[in-house]
Amino acid sequence: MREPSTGRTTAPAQPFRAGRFALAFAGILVALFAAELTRPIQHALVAPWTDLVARASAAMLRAFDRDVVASDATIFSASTGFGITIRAGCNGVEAMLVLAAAMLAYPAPWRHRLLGLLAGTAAVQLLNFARIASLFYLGRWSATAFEWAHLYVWQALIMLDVLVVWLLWLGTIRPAR
Amino acid sequence: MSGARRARALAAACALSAAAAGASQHVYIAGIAGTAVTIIDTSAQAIVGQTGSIGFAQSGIAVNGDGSKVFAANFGTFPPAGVWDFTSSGLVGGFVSVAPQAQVFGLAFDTAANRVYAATPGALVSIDPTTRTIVGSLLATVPFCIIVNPASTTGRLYYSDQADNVVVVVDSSFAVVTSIPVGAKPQGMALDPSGTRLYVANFNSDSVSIISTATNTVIQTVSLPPSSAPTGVVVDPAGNDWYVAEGGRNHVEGFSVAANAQVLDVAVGSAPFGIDVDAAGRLYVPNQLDATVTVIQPGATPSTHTIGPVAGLAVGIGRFIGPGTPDPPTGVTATPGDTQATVSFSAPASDGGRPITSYTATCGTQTASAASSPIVVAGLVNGTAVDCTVTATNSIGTSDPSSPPASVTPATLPAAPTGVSAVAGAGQATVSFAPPASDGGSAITSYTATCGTQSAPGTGSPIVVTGLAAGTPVTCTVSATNAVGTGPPSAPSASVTPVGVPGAPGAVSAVAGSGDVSVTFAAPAFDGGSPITSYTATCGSQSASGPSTYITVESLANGVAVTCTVRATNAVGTGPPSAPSASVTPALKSYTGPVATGLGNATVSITGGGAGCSFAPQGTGALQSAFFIPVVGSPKSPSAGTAPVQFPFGLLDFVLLGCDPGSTVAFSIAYPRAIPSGDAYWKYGATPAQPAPHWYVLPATISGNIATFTITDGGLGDDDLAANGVVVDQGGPGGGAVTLDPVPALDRWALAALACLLALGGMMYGRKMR
Repeated sequence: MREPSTGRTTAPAQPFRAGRFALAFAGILVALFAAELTRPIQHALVAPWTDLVARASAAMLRAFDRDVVASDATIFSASTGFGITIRAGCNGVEAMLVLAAAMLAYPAPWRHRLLGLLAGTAAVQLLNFARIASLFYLGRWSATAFEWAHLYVWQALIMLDVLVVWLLWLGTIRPAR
Repeated sequence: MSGARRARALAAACALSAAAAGASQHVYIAGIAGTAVTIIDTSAQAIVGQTGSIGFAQSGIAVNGDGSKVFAANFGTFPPAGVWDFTSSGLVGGFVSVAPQAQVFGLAFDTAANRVYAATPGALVSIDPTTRTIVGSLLATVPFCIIVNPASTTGRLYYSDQADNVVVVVDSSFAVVTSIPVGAKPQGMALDPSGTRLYVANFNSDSVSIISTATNTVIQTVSLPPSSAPTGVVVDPAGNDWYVAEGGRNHVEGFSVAANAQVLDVAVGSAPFGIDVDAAGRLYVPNQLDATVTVIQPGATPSTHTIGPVAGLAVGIGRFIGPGTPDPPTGVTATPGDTQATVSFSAPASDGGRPITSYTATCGTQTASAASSPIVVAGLVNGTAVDCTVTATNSIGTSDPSSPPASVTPATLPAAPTGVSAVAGAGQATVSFAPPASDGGSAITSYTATCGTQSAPGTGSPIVVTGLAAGTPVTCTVSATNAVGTGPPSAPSASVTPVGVPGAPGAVSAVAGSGDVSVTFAAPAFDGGSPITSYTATCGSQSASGPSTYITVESLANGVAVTCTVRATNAVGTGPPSAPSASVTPALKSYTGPVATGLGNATVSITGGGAGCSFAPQGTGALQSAFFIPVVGSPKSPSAGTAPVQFPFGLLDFVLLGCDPGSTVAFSIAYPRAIPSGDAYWKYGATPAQPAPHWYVLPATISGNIATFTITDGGLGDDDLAANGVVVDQGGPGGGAVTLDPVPALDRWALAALACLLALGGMMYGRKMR
């Protein structure tokens, strides 16, 4: 649907009830995290995804630096031995789950939700690639800088990234009539 | 006897002879009721003339010794009975009358006495042919045929007496020696060539009496068919057969001299009267009533033809063919020589009635004579073609030249070729040369090049002489050949050495490698005369080539014993293989491949463990070597998954097979870059102290990019923990110095905060939109 004034495409919104949204959001969030922690999900989805992220990150880095080595979920420097491990939590999955829970809880058409999830996943993972790369080189350069960026800068940026995506997605939802 | 038969008998003549100087034999046919004697040429087999008019009736004929004069008897009364003489061409010379005798039958010429004998009723008359006068007379009853036998020792003359039925023998003094009874009415007679037998045709007895001139007795009487009425008899020049003309049967029969067996019986004309034979063996039979002459060619398939008509009723008992020149020799060939020609030929069929005394060969303007073939005619000009002919000569004269002539070009041997040079090839030499200055007068037909013991013909330069031994120097010569023969060899060429394939290399030694064998050998003692360009070593089914005496043959199956041979190659070809090396078994003792982490290639090699100790073939099976694998993700990656350290080059997985049980194998691994400082060689597997697979550090020396360690079969590092000749290993340099930091995207507090922010944002936006 195209808005007459802005030309943006929006999705028709369902009637919004804050309490219902909050409960749904909390319920879905718990369910998703609980599922993620189960062995089948870990084995079937999380671990492969983590490995994919690590390999993709290593490939991206090796495209510019032959010193970068990827071994399993680890990216390290063959010359210095410094490495970073892409583990659960490092793969951006938790941030995606939070965003997904919010989008699924919010009253919106399913197609709109699906598009939002895809866009959110892309945004989170792209920023996660940048995070991994910056942390790899910051770690080789300075442990202090690595720790500061790791603990503060990139968590804030990831949160901001998810929040921006969330808000932009909400903005595409047409008010309910 | 019938009237006609009697008339023929009266007309029969005895021996008549003819001769033709300078030509072939002539046959003189007398003719009753004719006025001339007909002359037939034996070569032309045709009538060539006749005499002038010599009276109304002739009978006997005689020819003098050289055939130049012929005598003919006239038995009629007009002119009176007498003897005519004329030349071989028929030119009448004169006449001798024998009056008062009324008839003359047979004549004979005695060359030694120069007398003509004439048979007349009542007397045998002797005539001097030079003065044409009667010089003697011998009483006789009815002499008919006279034969002169110069070879006889018991008598000079024989005449048949038709009244007394005897043959009377007369000596050289013209006195009667004896009388030999024969058949009734003896008529024609003939001597064999040796003069030992006299054949008498008994007209009324139908038989032939054979008289031995040595004993003057009849030794055999041959009966003829009834009513044969033989009129004449003759013996062939070779003395093999005798023939009789049968006037009553109109046939001629022939019999062998040896057995008197019949060899011929052919029909002739009507009333054959007399028979004679020429030097070629042809029989001539005058046919009285046909006035023709039948010519018979005896043999297995006798042939006849007729010549005529002749003048008068043909008669001719006895010898009426004169001597003549021989026929030309036949089969003449000429072989060239140095300014000469060698002429070969065959004797003619006819000697003309007289023995051939010589042959004369004529080539161009040069002649030479000899008694027989061949004749060498000298004085010829080399290179000038001449025609060669041959003539035969007897006492009468010389034959016509042989035809066709044989062409020949006298020549001598060609000179030696010049400018001989040779170029060596593979077992051969190519010989070049210039033609000789002289071909000897005959075109050169071929050249022969000789190098060492080998020769080869050719029609020009160059000639390739093959079959030469490689490495053996030779010089070459060339000789030219023309129709005369082969000339002298040229001056030898410079020495050349033919080349060939090299000999076999020696001292072949093979050392097994990993899937290859290194072959060393000694160059062959003989390079074939051409530098060796390469060697080819063959081990099993694989070969490799190279220019040096060290060649590595690759792609061999590990564990399969092979022997190696080497062959040398030069510009000519490849020589024989060497003796095989000792058997060796390639083993995979080294492997190079990319490490799993993408840093490049690493090489692992082993020493020790025994000759057969080698890496198992590459693969992911239990008894296969996977070589460089990642820590996880490979079928042979450790089952533990994660490792306590990081492996910058991944892991090395291998299985050694064929090692001596309990032996120690030394490993050396060269990685693509320096191993991080502080790294140890980590292994995953069982240890004697802890059989369950686990990560542990294998004692190793790490320096730069090289890691070296040893593993004893069944000891630490061998995952199967058994001294069974199989070593199973899995490990790699791992980083104790590696810093691994987890980089979680959001910690739990951040996640909680994010969830709150999203919830808050959603509620605010929802209420706003509501």
